[in-house]
Amino acid sequence: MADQIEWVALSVFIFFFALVTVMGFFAARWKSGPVSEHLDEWGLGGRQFGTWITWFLVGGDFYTAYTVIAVPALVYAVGAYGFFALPYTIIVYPFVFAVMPMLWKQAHANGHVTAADVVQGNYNSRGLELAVAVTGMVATMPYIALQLIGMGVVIKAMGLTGELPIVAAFIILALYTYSSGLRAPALIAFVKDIIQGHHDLYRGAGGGRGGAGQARRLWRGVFGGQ
Amino acid sequence: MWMLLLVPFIGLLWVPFYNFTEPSLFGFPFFYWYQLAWVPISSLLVWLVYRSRTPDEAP
Repeated sequence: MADQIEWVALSVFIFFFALVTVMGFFAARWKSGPVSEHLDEWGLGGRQFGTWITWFLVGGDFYTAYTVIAVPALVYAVGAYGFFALPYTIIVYPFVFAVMPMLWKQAHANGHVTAADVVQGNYNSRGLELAVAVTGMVATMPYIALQLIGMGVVIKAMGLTGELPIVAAFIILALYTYSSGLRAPALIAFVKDIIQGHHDLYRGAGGGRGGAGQARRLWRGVFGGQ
Repeated sequence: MWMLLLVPFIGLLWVPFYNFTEPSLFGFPFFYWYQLAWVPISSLLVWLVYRSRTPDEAP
């Protein structure tokens, strides 16, 4: 890791961080409905995200620091074992295609907000509802931890040290999510997906200073060539 | 038609199916390009199922 502060990287980071923060707080007013206190507004963006916004939102939430940093690092470290990520990402799509529309229909027809609401509506069991809600929260924790590790790596690579930058970044993120609900990640997903797409194309084409060389070294590491 | 959605599960979850180096493609061992090949194949299968269902069918 670099000890000196990388000013170019840091400026780019600060620019996008500021942009995303402003958008995050602004998102509260984006497509806002008449009754802003209702949980539908905060948790589901007022149930008015269409196909395109949902597509960007899913893209932004599916391909994250986990995809960009954690999995490549794992593949680089242990090789083929890291490829577990590929089959499981592939089989998720047929599963989601078969199951999620049913879930959506029920939730839409009965006004459910969370998966726990759907379970409560179907089975009328508080115990099962609680189990689903708790599982959801507990299962999210390792994922959040991975995001934090990814964020930490990025911040360190820019030459910033200590825990303070990541704490500050996370507090800002938590604040605008608290104030805007699902609208914040949905709006930010547009920025995220565009950067991600650019990154993929750029790296794929071997662009950037040392980009091709790094990619080659990475693949050598993966495939055990020279 | 819905059975098509199970094909990726069969093709990917049984590692002995593809735990080989040969035949390689553009220098990629079979193990890697076989798994990557399932990305477009799965999309195609989902698209076929999507096309086949009647618009009102609860998917």
